[in-house]
Amino acid sequence: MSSVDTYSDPQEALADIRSLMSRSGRFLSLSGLSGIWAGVCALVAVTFAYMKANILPFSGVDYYTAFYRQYQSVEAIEPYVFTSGLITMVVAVIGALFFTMRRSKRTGYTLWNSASRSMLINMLVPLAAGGLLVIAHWYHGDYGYSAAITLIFYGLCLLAGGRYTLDEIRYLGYCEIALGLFTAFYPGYGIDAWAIGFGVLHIVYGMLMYFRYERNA
Amino acid sequence: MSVKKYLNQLDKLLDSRVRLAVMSLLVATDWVDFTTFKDELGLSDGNLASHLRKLEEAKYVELRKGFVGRKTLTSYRVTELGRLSFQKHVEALANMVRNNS
Repeated sequence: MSSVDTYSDPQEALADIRSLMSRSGRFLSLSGLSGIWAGVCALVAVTFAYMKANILPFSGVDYYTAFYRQYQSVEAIEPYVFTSGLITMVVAVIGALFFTMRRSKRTGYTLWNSASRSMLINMLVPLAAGGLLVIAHWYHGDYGYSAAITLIFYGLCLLAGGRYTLDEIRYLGYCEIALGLFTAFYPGYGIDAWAIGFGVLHIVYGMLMYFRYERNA
Repeated sequence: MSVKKYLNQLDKLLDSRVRLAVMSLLVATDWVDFTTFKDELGLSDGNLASHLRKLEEAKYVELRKGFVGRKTLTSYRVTELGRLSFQKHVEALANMVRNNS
């Protein structure tokens, strides 16, 4: 830092600002609308899942049993859950990226910086571990803990990423983990926990963030 | 086009290198504590504290006191007013550069 406390060249000032902002290392472009979008996607997917297995919300019948009752087959559940889950995730992520890119353009922060890179890597590890654990369970013909595993590992993924963005995302992470543990004890409510964890909680979080940080900005 | 036209759009409070640096760090993150500022900007306690006090008096930043062991550690966060003023100041700087070249 120079001994003279003012800038004579505005260009120099701007260059310093840019380097300081990128050094502080948090990713702030994540839009609340991304959360709302992901929540809506999840609710649509869960609605289809309820219809497919012909069950009502909070009936307490686990999805595997309900599915079997409907189709007299368990083989069909894997491709169905896998493809519908994958489609939901892709659509949710594309929409989330769209809102976040839009916000980053408006605020002028870069989308791809050291903060977003570390955030992504730290989140991918628990996410991939959780995904593979679910697949391993299926491989052994076990379906009961799918909801619990996905929710718990998603919560851990949010906690890991929370260090690189605004603190509020950690509370979302804690809620997902608590919900996942609940459904580990009561697997009958797995699909309902999914609807709450991936649907309702995302929407609530997204709205809170949107009204707190974005509406007036 | 004269650069003078933009001079009065600059924020007097953000004319200072230190205060502009403090604000640059703050707008890109959440809470930042006193020690982090000191490490990042390489300033003495007294110098940094006086600049932070000026920003606080202008309501550009808010503070929160916490403890590390027995010592108090103050953290700072940019306010809505601070964020807006910073954005205006940066815009004025960008205008000056654009019309100067």
